[in-house]
Amino acid sequence: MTRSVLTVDDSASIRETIAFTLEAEGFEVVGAADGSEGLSQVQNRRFDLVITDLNMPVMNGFDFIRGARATPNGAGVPIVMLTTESKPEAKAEGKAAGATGWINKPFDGEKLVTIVKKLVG
Amino acid sequence: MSDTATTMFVQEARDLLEGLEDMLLDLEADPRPEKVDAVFRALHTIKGSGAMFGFDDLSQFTHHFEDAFDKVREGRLAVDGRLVDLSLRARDLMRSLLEDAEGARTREAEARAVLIRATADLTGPGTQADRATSAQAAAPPKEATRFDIFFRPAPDDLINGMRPDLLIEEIGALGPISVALDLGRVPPLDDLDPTRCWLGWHMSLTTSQGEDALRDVFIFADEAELTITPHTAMAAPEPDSPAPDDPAPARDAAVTRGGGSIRVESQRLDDMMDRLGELVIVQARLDQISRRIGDPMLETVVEEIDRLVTGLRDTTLSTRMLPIEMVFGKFRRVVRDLSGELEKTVALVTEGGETEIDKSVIDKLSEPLVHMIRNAIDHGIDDAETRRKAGKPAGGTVRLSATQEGGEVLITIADDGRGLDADAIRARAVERGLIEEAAVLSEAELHQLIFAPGFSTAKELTSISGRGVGMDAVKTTVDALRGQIQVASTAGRGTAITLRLPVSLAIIDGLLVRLGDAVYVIPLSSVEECVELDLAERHRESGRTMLQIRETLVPFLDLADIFNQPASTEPRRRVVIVRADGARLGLVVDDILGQNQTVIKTLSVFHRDVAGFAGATILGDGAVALILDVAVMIRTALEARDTPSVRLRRQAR
Amino acid sequence: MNGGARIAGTPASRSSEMLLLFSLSGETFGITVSNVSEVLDPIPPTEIPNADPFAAAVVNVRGAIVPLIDIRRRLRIRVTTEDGDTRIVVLDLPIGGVPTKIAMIADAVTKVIETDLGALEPIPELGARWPKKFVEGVARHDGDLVVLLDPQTLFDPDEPTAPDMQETTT
Repeated sequence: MTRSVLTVDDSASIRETIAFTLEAEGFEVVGAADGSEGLSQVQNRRFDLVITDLNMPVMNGFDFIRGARATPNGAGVPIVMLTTESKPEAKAEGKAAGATGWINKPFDGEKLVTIVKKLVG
Repeated sequence: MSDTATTMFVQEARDLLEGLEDMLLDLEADPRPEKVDAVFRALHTIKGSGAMFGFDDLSQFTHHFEDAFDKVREGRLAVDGRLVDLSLRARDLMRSLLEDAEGARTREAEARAVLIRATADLTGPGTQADRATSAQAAAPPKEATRFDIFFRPAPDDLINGMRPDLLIEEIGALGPISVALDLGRVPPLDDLDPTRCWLGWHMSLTTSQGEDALRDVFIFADEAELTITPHTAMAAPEPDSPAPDDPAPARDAAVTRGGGSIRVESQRLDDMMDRLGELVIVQARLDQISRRIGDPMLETVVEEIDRLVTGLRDTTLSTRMLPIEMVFGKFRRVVRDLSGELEKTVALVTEGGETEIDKSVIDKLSEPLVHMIRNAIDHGIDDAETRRKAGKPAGGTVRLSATQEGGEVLITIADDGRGLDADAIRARAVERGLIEEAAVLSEAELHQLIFAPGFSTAKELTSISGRGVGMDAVKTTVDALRGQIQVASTAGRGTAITLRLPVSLAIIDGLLVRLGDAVYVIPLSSVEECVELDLAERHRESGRTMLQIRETLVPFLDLADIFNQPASTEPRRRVVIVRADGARLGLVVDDILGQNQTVIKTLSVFHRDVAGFAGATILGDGAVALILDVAVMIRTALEARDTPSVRLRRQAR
Repeated sequence: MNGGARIAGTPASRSSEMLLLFSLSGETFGITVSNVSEVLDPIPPTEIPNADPFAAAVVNVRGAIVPLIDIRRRLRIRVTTEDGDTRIVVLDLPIGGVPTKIAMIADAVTKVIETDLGALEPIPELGARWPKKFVEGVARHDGDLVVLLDPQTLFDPDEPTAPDMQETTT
């Protein structure tokens, strides 16, 4: 069965990069431009993986992660946050909100695939 | 990295840099923490994403300015003119690194070094960028070591997406392993919450990898209980902190996303406009057929379709509309730079930035407006001393305003400078051979001369005319947009130049006129009035025949004449009085047929050099009608004022 | 023998080509079918004052405004009055890299033939009435000569039109 990824980022170029990389790995990739779009996606279906930016308009990544974890479809799903800095607070806040892991920007396809493999096998 | 994503990044970065310029300009006046944060975020995103999409130079260069603004955020550096200056220049360099990575690398390496040094002077020693590139210290190869590992996820880790099985698998890939389950914490069944994790694992692994590699496997499991004990040595210190090279948190740059807007390729809008144009043409044909048939039921439907098409047209046109603010924003920078350069204090005031205009007009507008603003500051506004003597405030003002009037947008650039010197303009025009010494010109005609090619050159201009650099280029652009330029100037008080531009380039209101069997369209925006030729008396003045329309004399052209056709024998001919660039002209035609809405199509390459036509359109009966280029007609008439019969010249391509 | 050398060097795969044959003032010309978009009955033209007689008008082809081109002005053929068979051949050609629609006047469109481009003959040095640069070569078909035109040069908008070839009497 095709596995699905939800990518939540206000930057279309980042979404495209993730889609480009993960589609090549056989994932179905769904995009959302901010946390609230992401949340309605999560409410509608269960993804095998979610990748989310933290700093987004409308609804930021922390609120999105908390919201996703609170829905049945979002519980237990690996959620990777895109951290643009490695300042411990942001990661800690994301982890406390329920993120599974993180990937630091800039990342390349290889690094992304490594982390995705690590989280979903 | 896919090409699409890279293209997208370039567009995003462009937008960010565009916004950055405004933010920096804002910052100088108002260095509130939110504004500093906004600058930092923009720089941060460009740095981060730039590195992802292979813009390494851009990313590394941006890092220095990100550092500087990090210091500002932390209160260790103050915002002042110097920082804003440097940052604006840095922003320009980022832009060229983005647009032309290869060229900029070689060409601007020096500029970059200078900017980085200057920033370092400002920010003091030890910025993060200096120690940014930390080498990836590869662990030296080791002999196989046995590690005892105990791992117990935090109770929430399962609900938070952790898969302990995958982690154990990953550890197992490092070498031979044995795993034992620890069930010691599992509560009695009644108390067991299946979404929480109670299990732990004891592992014994033999691997040539170092302890760091093992800890890396559990990198995300920072809430979990984890002990790793190497069997050959003492336990290593806990390397718990993550990579050190990144600064403080930042929200991603504020990408403006007004109330649910989407980004659409402009080509698609163009395609949509083309389709709509065809629809309008077919609709005109339908109207005509329906009128001929005269069936009331059909007419009702046709009227309904008319209404819908008109609505669709308005909506489609409005999707192409952008607030003119988008170009106005750029000028703050121009004014700031130029007033610094010329040591004049000039304030820019903008009004009506919300006025909307077709995107294709906006795209072409920015350069001419820059020319005009430069001219206003350079030659219109005097230095503080002169201004004070004239009883004006020391600082000058350039007012940039936009407003819509019917189907036209009026953009006015007004300064409170010294005004145009009509005598100097006349003298210069005579010297340049643009007019005869004895030529009688109205003030408006004189003012228009500053737009004539060859009117002035940069070197001589300052002392004589006061204006002129690039003004002929302004005129060319405005002509191409089918717009007009009006000049109002009062000596000692200032100059206002108004560009009248069509709101849309695709559809105009036209006046249909007939000459022989042919139908032509005159853009209604340049039509002043229509009179019967018989009622207009002819006068001769300075060698040319003029028509007297009420109190004024107006030069005229017979279309049959300029179109190289036999003289018309029609008894009751008409004159259409048109206006462009401050001049009026009568165009003599056989008849006036009425008004219509006209979809403008450009002529092919085979007809581009035929002067006098702005394009063509398809009429309701399917026939093609040519659209007259009024500005060219007037120019032809002015140039040939002494020749009794005039032919349109071919334009040089 | 420029034309001959070029044709000899043409790869074999291109040797067979469909040609649309049409006539102008009694001569038969061919143009490769791949350039032809459609053949239409005459359309009322709109003359463009002061335009080059080679492209003196525009016509409405299905909502597009298309230049109407009279190639006789370049081929130095006298212009005879139209008879009932006049057709408009609509071509799609890249002009200066831009796909462009062109409406070409033909006295009549006769047929489509398949011809072996390898058997093209260069136009004779002597007695050729058509400027050589507009012609790819001459083919024989049913005992008649077919002049295969080179659309790239023939429709080059920058080519000056011979000034003296207008309205010669028969």
